Amino acid sequence: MADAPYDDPDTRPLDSARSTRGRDAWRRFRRNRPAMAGLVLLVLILLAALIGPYFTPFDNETPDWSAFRAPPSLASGHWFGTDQNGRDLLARTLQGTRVSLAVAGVATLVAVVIGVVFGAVAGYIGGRLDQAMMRFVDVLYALPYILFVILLMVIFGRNVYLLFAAIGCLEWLTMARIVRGQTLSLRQREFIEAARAAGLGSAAIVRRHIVPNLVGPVVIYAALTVPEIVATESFLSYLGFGVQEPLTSLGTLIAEGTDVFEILPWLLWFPAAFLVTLLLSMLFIGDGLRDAFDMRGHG
Amino acid sequence: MSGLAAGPRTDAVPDASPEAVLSVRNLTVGFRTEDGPVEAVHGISFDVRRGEVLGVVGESGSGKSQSLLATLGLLTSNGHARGEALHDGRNLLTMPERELRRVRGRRIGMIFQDPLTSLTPHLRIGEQLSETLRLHAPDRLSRSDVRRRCTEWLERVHLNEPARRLEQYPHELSGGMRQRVMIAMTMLAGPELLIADEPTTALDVTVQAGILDLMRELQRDLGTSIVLVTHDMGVVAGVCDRVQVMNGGRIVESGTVDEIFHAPAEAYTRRLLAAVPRIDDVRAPPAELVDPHGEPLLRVEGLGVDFSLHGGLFSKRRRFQALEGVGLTLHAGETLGIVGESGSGKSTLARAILRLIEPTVGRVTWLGRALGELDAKAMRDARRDLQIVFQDPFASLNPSMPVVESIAEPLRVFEPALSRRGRRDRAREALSLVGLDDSFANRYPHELSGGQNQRVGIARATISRPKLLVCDEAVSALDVSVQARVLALLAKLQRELGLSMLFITHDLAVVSAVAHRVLVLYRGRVVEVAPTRTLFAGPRHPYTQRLLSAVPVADPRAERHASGPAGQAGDEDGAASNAGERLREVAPGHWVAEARQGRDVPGDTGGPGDPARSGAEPAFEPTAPTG
Repeated sequence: MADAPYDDPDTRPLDSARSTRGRDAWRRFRRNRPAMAGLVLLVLILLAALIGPYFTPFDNETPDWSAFRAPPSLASGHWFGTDQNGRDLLARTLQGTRVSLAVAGVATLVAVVIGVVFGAVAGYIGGRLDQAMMRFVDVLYALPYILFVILLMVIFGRNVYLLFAAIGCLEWLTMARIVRGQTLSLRQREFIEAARAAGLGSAAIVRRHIVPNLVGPVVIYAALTVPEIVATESFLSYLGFGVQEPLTSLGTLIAEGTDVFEILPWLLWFPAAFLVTLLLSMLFIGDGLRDAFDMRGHG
Repeated sequence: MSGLAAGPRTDAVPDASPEAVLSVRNLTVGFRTEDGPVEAVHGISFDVRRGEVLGVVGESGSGKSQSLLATLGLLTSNGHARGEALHDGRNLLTMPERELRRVRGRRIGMIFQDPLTSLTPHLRIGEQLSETLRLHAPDRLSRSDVRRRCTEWLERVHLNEPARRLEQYPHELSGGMRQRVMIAMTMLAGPELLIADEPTTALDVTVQAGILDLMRELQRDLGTSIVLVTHDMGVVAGVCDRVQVMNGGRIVESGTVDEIFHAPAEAYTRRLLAAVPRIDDVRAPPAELVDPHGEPLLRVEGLGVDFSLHGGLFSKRRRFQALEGVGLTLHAGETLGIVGESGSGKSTLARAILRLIEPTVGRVTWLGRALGELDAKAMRDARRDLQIVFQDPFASLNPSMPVVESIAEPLRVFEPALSRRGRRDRAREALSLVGLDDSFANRYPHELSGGQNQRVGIARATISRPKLLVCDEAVSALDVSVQARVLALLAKLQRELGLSMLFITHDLAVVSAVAHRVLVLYRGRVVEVAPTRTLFAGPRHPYTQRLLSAVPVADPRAERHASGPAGQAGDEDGAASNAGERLREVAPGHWVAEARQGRDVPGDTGGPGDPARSGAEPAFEPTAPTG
């Protein structure tokens, strides 16, 4: 057979326009209006929570002796009003947002790390080990969540970050299942076989070929886990567990606000509005990420 | 897209001719995509005449399927069609959906590539057939009438035991049988036009031959017009009266099948035909070029692979023999073609040789060392010499890695001392060896075409300078012109790097172009081994003979002589079911399996005076592999 029977279109150099999977995903994400709105709101809230406290006229723990139970007012400088102890609600809300987000970040990180490693190992190795690992997950699923949390509080009661790292240790179950499912289907793909034919060992295959291809589903699920944990934290704080004074969290603020809603309604409204905005924006972002990373029909 | 001007035969747009079943005029098909609107078909016009078989051929992306889907209103939701598609004096493109549905099925039938996905999995064959009949029959039929007509049609498409088939579910039938059911279902409504979109592409060649005979028979007996959309020039040559060649959304050329094949007017058609390998024109290098007396590089003896299938936690394991007693030899610089239909175990053989699957019994000797006895580390070192190119160019590359990384991967294992920079330089070198320049290095697989990705796969397989390259259906997923170029590349690499190749494929025509010797596998056993020219000139085993006669040749004159009677589906393996075979040398280097009492391990010795050795013998189980 003669070489190159005619000009070979396959070997023409490519032009410089190029896209990567990440760039494609970003392009699709940008076109998703609710997700972009969510992203803008989340960035604003994050900025406010992180650098806002340096610019607010009051801090979050010192009482203002001249203004107890003051309603929101621009003139007094207490834009969100004050509570029964004269503390500025704006400062407390920003600080509470920071705690809620930090707690959610810690728990999500723990859940992602454990879930990805556990799921990828179970899925890649397969067989009896996989069966044993997944049955263990089923058993954990079957145990009552709140019982675990109360047990953990007995152990970690004083340190809220440790508590939520421990909550992350409970949240990884769903992540592990998702990752294992993805790994099982990745394992069937030819590029895994190609890697084995190239002589790579199991650990290198999981690290180089399995985990990078899990980024899509993991990012999406993590984005949906963060609001779940924020809500869990709020729930626990509402029950009276969670962060200790003078620190606060969105959940704690809402719990306190609910008690005095009839006479000091702003103590509920502002933290609740922050929480709802935060959760909605993160859910929209998670949704947008899911669509953006979904490669079906995009080649 | 294409630089080709429309030929003189397609310039004029004639009026709809009275004898046309379907007249397409100025049909334009476009799609809205993420990268803006894309036009897939640019204003084509053609007629389907009453009672003819029109072949529409082209490579992927030529718009051949889309132009016909558009006429029936079957485009995906982001597609739209302009122009005219006249049927019975009415324009199908502007017809309201309600009326179009009545035309679809009753007047114009359609069958698709994959008969499994076109049948509803949870309904019995009988229920699906009678549903069609009730939808489209002119008057109400009694239950017994419906059943009688369905049975009649299943007989007509040559399914054995039609009454029993009515009670079966689609998954209980083989691919060929399902396609026959699809044809029966479409023909029940008595359409005057049948549009078949790659109807035999997913089927084995022996099954394909039966389906094509059936379509030809329907056209002859009932006068049904047929439009056959396909990429396979051989299929076109065997079945069609007229052909139109499409490229880049335009009709390049159309004419009778003899005009197109023997006097093509356009350069594109000529190139397309030249790229098609043909089994009646064996271009294989003669086996004598390889020294048959030297010690073979690779020797496989009595290789068997069992798979255990298990249903679940509490069900018993079942065993399934994918390979049994396979032997072969491969010499330095030689290409051994391994052919077989789906389920013959050819891919299992490749993987068992490379120890990607552990063989159950048997011995693989590589350069005098038994691979099965190597420990993990020694095996990793041996892999340096043993590389593989896979079938699916997209699936075999990691989608989240730039191709230069994928190519360099074997170096991480085989030359761990090499720096990151050194690896990249070597990978770029390997890229240029397969004809791709630096602009490809940092691309991701989804940015490249199938042919380009396959070149990347070849670069990865050759970067460690292996001695053996296993090509597992390496060109099967590619268009013919791309396939021809990739084959030329493999031949070039074989010359330059002195590679030995195991070339595994279901496509006999491809093997006839590249292999020194050919080994035919059937249901996990070797049935015949011979130098390529000898095998194609005079196959001895009945299965090989049947396989060769089923391959469509891209030449209408040759095909007209070749067409035989349509066989019954359901006993499609009658000729070769003589279990209990061993190989006998009928001519130097030509070994054929023959029926025998008792079973010995067949062995291929590759040269005269090198008798088959018998190794460990697997227990014979009469369970026939399925699928």
